[in-house]
Amino acid sequence: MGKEKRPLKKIESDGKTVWVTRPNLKEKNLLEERIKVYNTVLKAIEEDKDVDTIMQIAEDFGKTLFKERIKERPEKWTIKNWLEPVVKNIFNPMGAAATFTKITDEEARSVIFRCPVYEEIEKNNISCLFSYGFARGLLKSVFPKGELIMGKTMGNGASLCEFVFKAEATDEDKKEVEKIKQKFREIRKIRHSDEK
Amino acid sequence: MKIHISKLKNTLSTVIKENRTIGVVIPGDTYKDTVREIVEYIYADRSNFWLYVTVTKPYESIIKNFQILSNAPNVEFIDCISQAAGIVKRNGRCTFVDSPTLLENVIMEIHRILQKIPSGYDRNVLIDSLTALTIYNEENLITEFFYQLANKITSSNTHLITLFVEKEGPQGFFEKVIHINDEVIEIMSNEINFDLEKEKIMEKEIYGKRKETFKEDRIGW
Repeated sequence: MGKEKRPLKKIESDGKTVWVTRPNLKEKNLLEERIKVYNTVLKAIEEDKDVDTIMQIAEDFGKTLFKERIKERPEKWTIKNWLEPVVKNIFNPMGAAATFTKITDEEARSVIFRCPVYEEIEKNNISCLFSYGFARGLLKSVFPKGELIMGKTMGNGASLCEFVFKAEATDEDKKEVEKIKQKFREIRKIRHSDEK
Repeated sequence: MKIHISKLKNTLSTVIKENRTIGVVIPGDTYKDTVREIVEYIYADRSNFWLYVTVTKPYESIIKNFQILSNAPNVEFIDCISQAAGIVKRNGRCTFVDSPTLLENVIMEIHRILQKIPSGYDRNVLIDSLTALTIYNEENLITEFFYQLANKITSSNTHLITLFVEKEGPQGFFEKVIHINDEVIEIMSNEINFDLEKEKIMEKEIYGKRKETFKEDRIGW
Protein backbone atom coordinates (compact mmCIF):
# COMPACT_ATOMS: atom_id res chain seq x y z
CA MET A 1 0.00 0.00 0.00
CA GLY A 2 1.29 3.46 -0.93
CA LYS A 3 2.24 5.86 1.80
CA GLU A 4 -0.19 8.78 2.10
CA LYS A 5 1.34 12.06 1.02
CA ARG A 6 1.71 14.70 3.72
CA PRO A 7 -0.24 17.89 2.94
CA LEU A 8 2.92 19.93 3.53
CA LYS A 9 6.22 18.82 2.10
CA LYS A 10 9.21 19.62 4.24
CA ILE A 11 12.23 20.89 2.34
CA GLU A 12 15.53 21.18 4.13
CA SER A 13 18.83 22.59 3.03
CA ASP A 14 21.87 23.69 5.04
CA GLY A 15 20.43 25.64 7.97
CA LYS A 16 17.03 26.27 6.43
CA THR A 17 13.68 24.46 6.56
CA VAL A 18 10.53 25.38 4.65
CA TRP A 19 7.23 23.58 3.95
CA VAL A 20 5.50 23.53 0.57
CA THR A 21 1.77 22.84 0.08
CA ARG A 22 0.70 20.03 -2.27
CA PRO A 23 -2.24 21.46 -4.24
CA ASN A 24 -4.48 19.05 -6.16
CA LEU A 25 -7.72 20.75 -7.34
CA LYS A 26 -9.53 17.44 -6.85
CA GLU A 27 -12.81 18.65 -5.40
CA LYS A 28 -14.97 20.28 -8.03
CA ASN A 29 -17.80 21.22 -5.68
CA LEU A 30 -15.40 23.19 -3.52
CA LEU A 31 -14.16 25.13 -6.52
CA GLU A 32 -17.71 25.82 -7.70
CA GLU A 33 -18.61 27.04 -4.23
CA ARG A 34 -15.67 29.43 -4.34
CA ILE A 35 -16.79 30.89 -7.67
CA LYS A 36 -20.31 31.38 -6.28
CA VAL A 37 -19.03 33.31 -3.26
CA TYR A 38 -16.65 35.28 -5.46
CA ASN A 39 -19.61 36.33 -7.61
CA THR A 40 -21.44 37.44 -4.45
CA VAL A 41 -18.41 39.61 -3.65
CA LEU A 42 -18.49 41.12 -7.15
CA LYS A 43 -22.21 41.83 -6.79
CA ALA A 44 -21.58 43.55 -3.45
CA ILE A 45 -18.96 45.74 -5.14
CA GLU A 46 -21.42 46.64 -7.90
CA GLU A 47 -23.98 47.53 -5.25
CA ASP A 48 -21.44 49.90 -3.73
CA LYS A 49 -21.10 48.00 -0.45
CA ASP A 50 -18.18 49.06 1.75
CA VAL A 51 -14.92 47.09 2.11
CA ASP A 52 -15.87 45.72 5.54
CA THR A 53 -19.08 44.21 4.18
CA ILE A 54 -17.27 42.74 1.18
CA MET A 55 -14.56 41.29 3.37
CA GLN A 56 -17.19 39.86 5.71
CA ILE A 57 -18.70 37.83 2.84
CA ALA A 58 -15.29 36.27 2.15
CA GLU A 59 -14.61 35.74 5.86
CA ASP A 60 -17.95 34.01 6.34
CA PHE A 61 -17.04 31.67 3.48
CA GLY A 62 -13.78 30.81 5.26
CA LYS A 63 -15.62 30.20 8.54
CA THR A 64 -18.24 28.00 6.88
CA LEU A 65 -15.60 25.90 5.14
CA PHE A 66 -13.71 25.48 8.41
CA LYS A 67 -16.85 24.28 10.17
CA GLU A 68 -17.73 21.85 7.39
CA ARG A 69 -14.32 20.43 6.59
CA ILE A 70 -12.13 20.52 9.68
CA LYS A 71 -12.99 17.70 12.03
CA GLU A 72 -9.96 18.00 14.31
CA ARG A 73 -10.75 19.24 17.81
CA PRO A 74 -7.47 19.46 19.74
CA GLU A 75 -7.39 20.34 23.43
CA LYS A 76 -5.72 23.58 22.58
CA TRP A 77 -5.50 25.14 19.15
CA THR A 78 -2.09 26.40 18.05
CA ILE A 79 -1.12 27.74 14.65
CA LYS A 80 0.84 24.53 14.13
CA ASN A 81 -2.06 22.13 14.71
CA TRP A 82 -4.48 24.48 12.90
CA LEU A 83 -2.35 24.73 9.77
CA GLU A 84 -2.00 21.08 8.77
CA PRO A 85 -5.73 20.21 8.55
CA VAL A 86 -6.47 23.58 6.89
CA VAL A 87 -3.82 22.95 4.24
CA LYS A 88 -4.96 19.35 3.75
CA ASN A 89 -8.71 19.94 3.58
CA ILE A 90 -9.00 23.46 2.20
CA PHE A 91 -5.85 25.03 0.68
CA ASN A 92 -4.67 21.95 -1.22
CA PRO A 93 -8.05 20.99 -2.76
CA MET A 94 -8.49 24.63 -3.76
CA GLY A 95 -5.19 24.62 -5.64
CA ALA A 96 -3.25 27.17 -3.63
CA ALA A 97 0.52 26.66 -3.84
CA ALA A 98 2.45 28.23 -1.00
CA THR A 99 5.73 27.96 0.82
CA PHE A 100 5.69 28.33 4.59
CA THR A 101 8.98 29.74 5.80
CA LYS A 102 8.07 29.63 9.48
CA ILE A 103 5.61 27.50 11.44
CA THR A 104 5.43 27.83 15.22
CA ASP A 105 2.60 27.53 17.76
CA GLU A 106 2.07 31.29 17.55
CA GLU A 107 2.77 32.18 13.94
CA ALA A 108 3.04 30.94 10.36
CA ARG A 109 4.69 32.89 7.55
CA SER A 110 3.92 32.06 3.95
CA VAL A 111 4.52 33.16 0.39
CA ILE A 112 1.89 32.15 -2.15
CA PHE A 113 3.34 31.35 -5.54
CA ARG A 114 0.18 30.08 -7.19
CA CYS A 115 -3.08 31.76 -6.24
CA PRO A 116 -5.99 30.06 -8.02
CA VAL A 117 -8.38 32.95 -7.39
CA TYR A 118 -5.95 35.38 -9.01
CA GLU A 119 -4.97 33.02 -11.85
CA GLU A 120 -8.28 31.35 -12.64
CA ILE A 121 -10.94 33.91 -11.80
CA GLU A 122 -9.72 37.47 -12.01
CA LYS A 123 -6.28 39.07 -12.16
CA ASN A 124 -6.84 42.09 -9.96
CA ASN A 125 -6.92 43.36 -6.41
CA ILE A 126 -10.48 42.15 -5.79
CA SER A 127 -9.19 38.58 -5.96
CA CYS A 128 -6.63 39.57 -3.28
CA LEU A 129 -9.35 41.09 -1.09
CA PHE A 130 -11.34 37.88 -1.49
CA SER A 131 -8.39 35.60 -0.67
CA TYR A 132 -7.44 37.77 2.29
CA GLY A 133 -10.96 37.75 3.74
CA PHE A 134 -11.37 34.04 3.14
CA ALA A 135 -8.05 33.12 4.82
CA ARG A 136 -8.83 35.53 7.69
CA GLY A 137 -12.14 33.72 8.21
CA LEU A 138 -10.32 30.39 8.45
CA LEU A 139 -7.96 31.85 11.04
CA LYS A 140 -10.65 33.64 13.05
CA SER A 141 -12.60 30.36 13.30
CA VAL A 142 -10.30 29.29 16.13
CA PHE A 143 -8.24 32.38 16.90
CA PRO A 144 -10.70 35.21 17.59
CA LYS A 145 -7.81 37.30 18.94
CA GLY A 146 -5.61 36.32 16.02
CA GLU A 147 -4.88 38.29 12.89
CA LEU A 148 -3.84 37.81 9.30
CA ILE A 149 -1.25 40.22 7.98
CA MET A 150 -0.91 40.57 4.24
CA GLY A 151 2.29 41.94 2.75
CA LYS A 152 2.82 42.25 -0.97
CA THR A 153 0.26 40.79 -3.39
CA MET A 154 0.29 39.54 -6.98
CA GLY A 155 -2.74 41.72 -7.65
CA ASN A 156 -0.55 44.69 -6.84
CA GLY A 157 2.13 43.64 -9.33
CA ALA A 158 4.37 41.68 -6.92
CA SER A 159 5.96 38.33 -7.69
CA LEU A 160 4.33 36.55 -4.74
CA CYS A 161 1.70 37.15 -2.05
CA GLU A 162 2.82 37.25 1.58
CA PHE A 163 0.54 36.10 4.40
CA VAL A 164 1.43 35.95 8.10
CA PHE A 165 -1.02 34.04 10.31
CA LYS A 166 -0.89 35.02 14.00
CA ALA A 167 -2.64 33.34 16.93
CA GLU A 168 -2.73 36.57 18.89
CA ALA A 169 -2.49 39.98 17.36
CA THR A 170 -0.39 42.79 18.81
CA ASP A 171 -1.50 46.43 18.62
CA GLU A 172 0.95 46.82 15.77
CA ASP A 173 -0.75 43.95 13.88
CA LYS A 174 -4.17 45.53 14.39
CA LYS A 175 -2.87 48.79 12.92
CA GLU A 176 -1.46 46.82 10.01
CA VAL A 177 -4.88 45.27 9.33
CA GLU A 178 -6.43 48.75 9.29
CA LYS A 179 -3.80 49.78 6.74
CA ILE A 180 -4.68 46.76 4.58
CA LYS A 181 -8.38 47.65 4.71
CA GLN A 182 -7.55 51.26 3.85
CA LYS A 183 -5.57 50.11 0.82
CA PHE A 184 -8.54 48.07 -0.37
CA ARG A 185 -10.83 51.09 0.13
CA GLU A 186 -8.53 53.18 -2.10
CA ILE A 187 -8.38 50.45 -4.74
CA ARG A 188 -12.15 50.16 -4.70
CA LYS A 189 -12.47 53.92 -5.21
CA ILE A 190 -10.08 53.78 -8.19
CA ARG A 191 -11.99 50.83 -9.65
CA HIS A 192 -15.26 52.71 -9.25
CA SER A 193 -13.97 55.88 -10.87
CA ASP A 194 -12.50 53.80 -13.74
CA GLU A 195 -15.87 52.17 -14.34
CA LYS A 196 -17.65 55.53 -14.37
CA MET B 1 21.62 52.48 -15.08
CA LYS B 2 18.17 53.43 -13.87
CA ILE B 3 15.38 53.28 -16.44
CA HIS B 4 11.62 53.43 -16.76
CA ILE B 5 10.03 50.07 -17.51
CA SER B 6 8.91 51.24 -20.96
CA LYS B 7 12.60 51.45 -21.96
CA LEU B 8 13.50 47.94 -20.82
CA LYS B 9 13.24 46.16 -24.19
CA ASN B 10 15.39 48.76 -25.96
CA THR B 11 17.91 48.80 -23.13
CA LEU B 12 18.16 45.01 -23.09
CA SER B 13 18.81 44.85 -26.82
CA THR B 14 21.87 47.10 -26.50
CA VAL B 15 23.12 45.89 -23.12
CA ILE B 16 23.00 42.19 -24.06
CA LYS B 17 25.28 42.82 -27.04
CA GLU B 18 27.96 44.38 -24.84
CA ASN B 19 27.78 42.33 -21.65
CA ARG B 20 27.76 38.71 -20.55
CA THR B 21 26.06 39.02 -17.16
CA ILE B 22 23.22 41.45 -16.58
CA GLY B 23 21.26 42.06 -13.40
CA VAL B 24 17.76 43.50 -13.53
CA VAL B 25 16.66 45.06 -10.23
CA ILE B 26 12.89 45.19 -9.87
CA PRO B 27 10.86 47.14 -7.29
CA GLY B 28 8.33 44.76 -5.69
CA ASP B 29 5.23 46.26 -7.31
CA THR B 30 6.75 46.24 -10.80
CA TYR B 31 7.58 42.53 -11.05
CA LYS B 32 4.60 41.56 -13.20
CA ASP B 33 5.12 44.41 -15.69
CA THR B 34 8.88 43.84 -15.86
CA VAL B 35 8.51 40.14 -16.58
CA ARG B 36 5.91 40.93 -19.25
CA GLU B 37 8.40 43.26 -20.97
CA ILE B 38 11.15 40.63 -20.81
CA VAL B 39 8.82 37.93 -22.15
CA GLU B 40 7.89 40.15 -25.10
CA TYR B 41 11.58 40.76 -25.71
CA ILE B 42 12.30 37.00 -25.65
CA TYR B 43 9.42 36.32 -28.02
CA ALA B 44 10.68 38.92 -30.48
CA ASP B 45 14.25 37.59 -30.21
CA ARG B 46 13.38 34.36 -32.00
CA SER B 47 16.68 33.96 -33.80
CA ASN B 48 18.39 33.37 -30.44
CA PHE B 49 17.93 30.70 -27.78
CA TRP B 50 16.51 31.48 -24.32
CA LEU B 51 16.47 29.30 -21.23
CA TYR B 52 13.98 30.54 -18.63
CA VAL B 53 14.84 29.29 -15.13
CA THR B 54 11.89 29.86 -12.82
CA VAL B 55 12.01 29.83 -9.04
CA THR B 56 9.22 32.36 -8.45
CA LYS B 57 6.29 30.71 -10.21
CA PRO B 58 5.51 27.28 -11.64
CA TYR B 59 6.07 26.77 -15.38
CA GLU B 60 2.33 26.24 -15.82
CA SER B 61 1.53 29.67 -14.32
CA ILE B 62 4.09 31.38 -16.54
CA ILE B 63 2.56 29.84 -19.65
CA LYS B 64 -0.93 30.79 -18.47
CA ASN B 65 0.13 34.37 -17.84
CA PHE B 66 2.24 34.73 -20.97
CA GLN B 67 0.64 32.62 -23.64
CA ILE B 68 2.98 33.91 -26.35
CA LEU B 69 5.69 31.75 -24.77
CA SER B 70 3.66 28.54 -25.03
CA ASN B 71 4.68 27.94 -28.64
CA ALA B 72 7.84 30.02 -28.88
CA PRO B 73 10.35 27.59 -30.43
CA ASN B 74 13.38 29.45 -29.09
CA VAL B 75 12.50 29.04 -25.40
CA GLU B 76 12.98 26.19 -22.94
CA PHE B 77 12.30 26.18 -19.22
CA ILE B 78 13.74 24.87 -15.98
CA ASP B 79 11.13 24.85 -13.22
CA CYS B 80 12.56 24.69 -9.70
CA ILE B 81 9.36 24.61 -7.62
CA SER B 82 6.58 22.58 -9.28
CA GLN B 83 8.10 19.21 -8.39
CA ALA B 84 8.26 20.15 -4.70
CA ALA B 85 4.61 21.22 -4.79
CA GLY B 86 3.60 18.11 -6.75
CA ILE B 87 2.08 20.10 -9.61
CA VAL B 88 4.24 18.89 -12.48
CA LYS B 89 2.66 18.59 -15.90
CA ARG B 90 5.25 16.92 -18.08
CA ASN B 91 6.17 18.84 -21.16
CA GLY B 92 9.04 18.45 -23.61
CA ARG B 93 10.01 22.09 -23.19
CA CYS B 94 10.35 22.13 -19.43
CA THR B 95 12.78 20.35 -17.13
CA PHE B 96 11.60 19.99 -13.54
CA VAL B 97 14.22 20.10 -10.79
CA ASP B 98 13.21 18.13 -7.66
CA SER B 99 13.67 21.03 -5.28
CA PRO B 100 14.86 24.65 -5.31
CA THR B 101 17.48 23.61 -2.76
CA LEU B 102 19.29 21.42 -5.31
CA LEU B 103 21.37 24.23 -6.73
CA GLU B 104 24.01 21.88 -8.19
CA ASN B 105 21.26 20.18 -10.20
CA VAL B 106 20.05 23.53 -11.50
CA ILE B 107 23.56 24.29 -12.83
CA MET B 108 23.83 20.79 -14.33
CA GLU B 109 20.49 21.13 -16.11
CA ILE B 110 21.38 24.57 -17.45
CA HIS B 111 24.65 23.15 -18.77
CA ARG B 112 22.92 20.10 -20.29
CA ILE B 113 20.31 22.18 -22.13
CA LEU B 114 22.81 24.75 -23.39
CA GLN B 115 25.00 21.99 -24.83
CA LYS B 116 22.16 20.91 -27.12
CA ILE B 117 22.02 24.31 -28.82
CA PRO B 118 23.93 24.36 -32.11
CA SER B 119 26.79 26.83 -32.35
CA GLY B 120 25.94 29.96 -34.24
CA TYR B 121 22.99 30.77 -32.02
CA ASP B 122 23.29 33.29 -29.21
CA ARG B 123 22.31 31.63 -25.95
CA ASN B 124 20.65 33.42 -23.06
CA VAL B 125 19.76 32.25 -19.57
CA LEU B 126 17.13 34.13 -17.55
CA ILE B 127 17.04 33.52 -13.78
CA ASP B 128 13.64 34.47 -12.31
CA SER B 129 14.71 35.31 -9.64
CA LEU B 130 17.87 35.04 -7.56
CA THR B 131 16.09 36.63 -4.61
CA ALA B 132 13.32 33.99 -4.72
CA LEU B 133 16.02 31.37 -4.11
CA THR B 134 16.60 32.96 -0.70
CA ILE B 135 13.20 31.60 0.43
CA TYR B 136 14.66 28.09 0.19
CA ASN B 137 18.41 28.46 0.66
CA GLU B 138 20.92 30.14 2.93
CA GLU B 139 22.39 33.21 1.30
CA ASN B 140 25.99 31.93 1.25
CA LEU B 141 24.87 28.91 -0.82
CA ILE B 142 23.12 31.18 -3.31
CA THR B 143 26.14 33.46 -3.52
CA GLU B 144 28.31 30.43 -4.32
CA PHE B 145 25.74 29.18 -6.84
CA PHE B 146 25.65 32.54 -8.55
CA TYR B 147 29.46 32.81 -8.76
CA GLN B 148 29.67 29.32 -10.25
CA LEU B 149 26.88 29.96 -12.71
CA ALA B 150 28.31 33.30 -13.84
CA ASN B 151 31.75 31.69 -14.32
CA LYS B 152 30.37 28.83 -16.40
CA ILE B 153 28.20 31.14 -18.44
CA THR B 154 30.95 33.62 -19.25
CA SER B 155 33.24 30.84 -20.44
CA SER B 156 30.67 29.76 -23.03
CA ASN B 157 28.92 31.87 -25.64
CA THR B 158 26.01 32.64 -23.32
CA HIS B 159 24.43 35.67 -21.65
CA LEU B 160 23.10 35.52 -18.12
CA ILE B 161 20.19 37.78 -17.21
CA THR B 162 19.30 37.64 -13.52
CA LEU B 163 16.26 39.20 -11.86
CA PHE B 164 16.53 40.63 -8.34
CA VAL B 165 13.33 41.68 -6.59
CA GLU B 166 13.94 44.59 -4.22
CA LYS B 167 13.32 43.99 -0.49
CA GLU B 168 13.17 40.24 -1.08
CA GLY B 169 15.88 38.24 0.60
CA PRO B 170 17.93 38.78 3.73
CA GLN B 171 19.58 42.07 4.53
CA GLY B 172 22.90 42.56 2.78
CA PHE B 173 22.36 39.71 0.30
CA PHE B 174 21.72 42.00 -2.65
CA GLU B 175 24.92 43.98 -2.04
CA LYS B 176 26.91 40.75 -1.88
CA VAL B 177 25.88 39.46 -5.29
CA ILE B 178 24.87 42.37 -7.48
CA HIS B 179 28.47 43.30 -8.39
CA ILE B 180 28.94 39.92 -10.08
CA ASN B 181 26.97 41.33 -13.00
CA ASP B 182 28.79 43.23 -15.76
CA GLU B 183 25.83 45.60 -16.03
CA VAL B 184 22.91 46.37 -13.74
CA ILE B 185 19.58 47.73 -14.94
CA GLU B 186 17.41 49.26 -12.22
CA ILE B 187 13.71 49.56 -12.98
CA MET B 188 11.93 52.62 -11.59
CA SER B 189 9.08 52.00 -9.18
CA ASN B 190 5.43 52.39 -10.19
CA GLU B 191 4.85 54.24 -6.95
CA ILE B 192 4.73 58.02 -7.10
CA ASN B 193 7.97 59.46 -5.85
CA PHE B 194 6.68 62.32 -3.75
CA ASP B 195 10.12 63.83 -3.17
CA LEU B 196 10.73 63.92 -6.89
CA GLU B 197 7.29 65.45 -7.47
CA LYS B 198 8.01 68.11 -4.84
CA GLU B 199 11.33 68.87 -6.53
CA LYS B 200 9.58 69.35 -9.86
CA ILE B 201 7.06 71.70 -8.28
CA MET B 202 9.83 73.73 -6.67
CA GLU B 203 11.57 73.93 -10.03
CA LYS B 204 8.33 75.22 -11.53
CA GLU B 205 8.01 77.82 -8.79
CA ILE B 206 11.55 79.07 -9.34
CA TYR B 207 10.92 79.18 -13.09
CA GLY B 208 7.68 81.05 -12.39
CA LYS B 209 9.48 83.68 -10.34
CA ARG B 210 11.94 84.24 -13.12
CA LYS B 211 9.57 84.27 -16.03
CA GLU B 212 6.40 85.38 -14.27
CA THR B 213 4.63 82.26 -15.44
CA PHE B 214 3.14 79.06 -14.01
CA LYS B 215 1.76 80.89 -10.98
CA GLU B 216 -1.61 79.24 -11.33
CA ASP B 217 0.00 75.88 -11.76
CA ARG B 218 1.23 75.52 -8.21
CA ILE B 219 -0.01 72.52 -6.28
CA GLY B 220 -0.36 72.97 -2.54
CA TRP B 221 0.96 70.36 -0.12
